[in-house]
Amino acid sequence: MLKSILRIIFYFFLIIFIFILSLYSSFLLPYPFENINLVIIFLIILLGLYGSGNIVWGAFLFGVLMDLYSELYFGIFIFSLTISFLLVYWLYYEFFTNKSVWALATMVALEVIFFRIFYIFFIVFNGTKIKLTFLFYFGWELLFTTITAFLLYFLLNKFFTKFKILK
Amino acid sequence: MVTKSKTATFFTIFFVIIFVVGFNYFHWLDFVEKPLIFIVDWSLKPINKIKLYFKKTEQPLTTDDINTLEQIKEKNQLSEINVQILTEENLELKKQLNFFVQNNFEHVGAVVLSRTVNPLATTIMIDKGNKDGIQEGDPVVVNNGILIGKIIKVEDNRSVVRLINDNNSAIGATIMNRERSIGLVEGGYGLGVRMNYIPQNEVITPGDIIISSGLSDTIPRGLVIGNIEVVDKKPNEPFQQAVITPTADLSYINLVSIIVHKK
Repeated sequence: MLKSILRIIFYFFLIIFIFILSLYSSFLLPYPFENINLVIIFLIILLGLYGSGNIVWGAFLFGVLMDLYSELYFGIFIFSLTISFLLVYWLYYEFFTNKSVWALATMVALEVIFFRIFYIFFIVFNGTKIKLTFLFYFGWELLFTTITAFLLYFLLNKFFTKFKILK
Repeated sequence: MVTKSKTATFFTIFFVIIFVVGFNYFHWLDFVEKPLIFIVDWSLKPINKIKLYFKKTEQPLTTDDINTLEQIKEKNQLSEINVQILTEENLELKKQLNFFVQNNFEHVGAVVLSRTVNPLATTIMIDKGNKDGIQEGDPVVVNNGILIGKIIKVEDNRSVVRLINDNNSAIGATIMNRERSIGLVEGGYGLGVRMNYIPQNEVITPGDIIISSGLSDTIPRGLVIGNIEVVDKKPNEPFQQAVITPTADLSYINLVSIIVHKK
C-alpha cells in the first residue's frame, strides 16, 4: 500500500518535471526543433516499459498542466491528450504487441496525429480559423518527435539493460 | 465483453474530464492548481537567464557595444517618432485624439515566465495578473514604448500576452509617411509581421516607421511597432501590403511593461 502511494507520488513529480522540461525545450530550442513533443515521447516510453493502462491517467495529468499553461479554454489539452492516449493504448494492446523500436516509434507518430486531430477539432470549435500553415507546424512536430523518440529508444535499448524488453 | 470494457473505460475517462473542466470553471480546483502553478512558475524562473546567456554567446565580439548601439538606435527612433507626432499635432491643432497626451495610462512591469504550450500561437506568459490591474486587451511594451503585443487572458497573478507576430494578432497602425497611411498590422504564425489594408494610392517605402494608430481598443497612438522591410503592391488590388521588421526582438523578451488604465 505504502509502496503504491510512494510510486504514485514519484510519478506525479516526474510528470511535473517532464512538463517543465518540455516548456524549457519549447522556449529555448531554435525553430523547428522547438516542436519536439517531450510529453508524448515520455509517455510512450512508459507504455513500452510497463504496458500499463495507467499511462492514460498520466496523459490526463499532463493535459491538466498544459491547460494551465495555455491561453485556450481549459479542457482542450486534457481531452485531446487523454483520449488520444486511450486510443493509442488500445492500439498497443491489440496490434503493437512485439514492443520493437519501430513499433514504439510508430505509436509516437500515431499519438501525435491523434492528439493534433482532436486538438484541431477543439480549436476550430473555439473559433480559430484553420489554415494549411497549421499542417506545416504539425509536420515538424510529427517528424522531430518521431525521430527523437526513435533515437532515444534506440539508445536506451543499447545502454540500459532494463530496456532490453525493447527488441 | 472487451468492447463493453472499452466503452466503460472511455465513458469513465470522459466523465472525469467533464467533472474536472466543470470544477475548474467554478474555481473548485484552485487548491490543487495553485500549488502546481507555484511549482512550475518557480522552476521557470531561470529560463530567461538561460535564453539571454545563449543570446550573448551567439555574438562573439563586443556584445556590450552592439547592445549600446541598439539602444541608441531605438532611442533615436523613439525621438524621431515623438518629434513627428508633436509636429503633426501642432499642425492639425490637436484635432485628433492622442491617447498618450491625454495621459490616461500607467505602467506595470512584469517578467516573462515562458511561452504557452499552444504551438500555433506566439504567446508568452507573464508574472502579473488582474491583482496588478491588468485587463484583457491592455498593450504590452518594451523599452518605453515599443509595442510587442497585447493581453489576451488574465488570471489573478499571471497573464498571457499575444505577440504581434501571432497569427491571430491584429493591431491598427499608422505609417509615418507623408499621408500617414493607416492599416492593420497582422502576424503570421510567429514567422513574420505584415501590414495589410494600406490604400493603394498612398506612397510607402522601405524604412518607413510604423506606429500604433490608436484606433484599436485600449492601444494608444504612438507606440512604435517596426519598420517597413518590403512593399508588396499589386496594381489590380485595392490595397497594398508591407512586410514589417518589428523594432523589438520578439525572440528574446525578458522584461515587459503593460499599459493599464488608471483606477
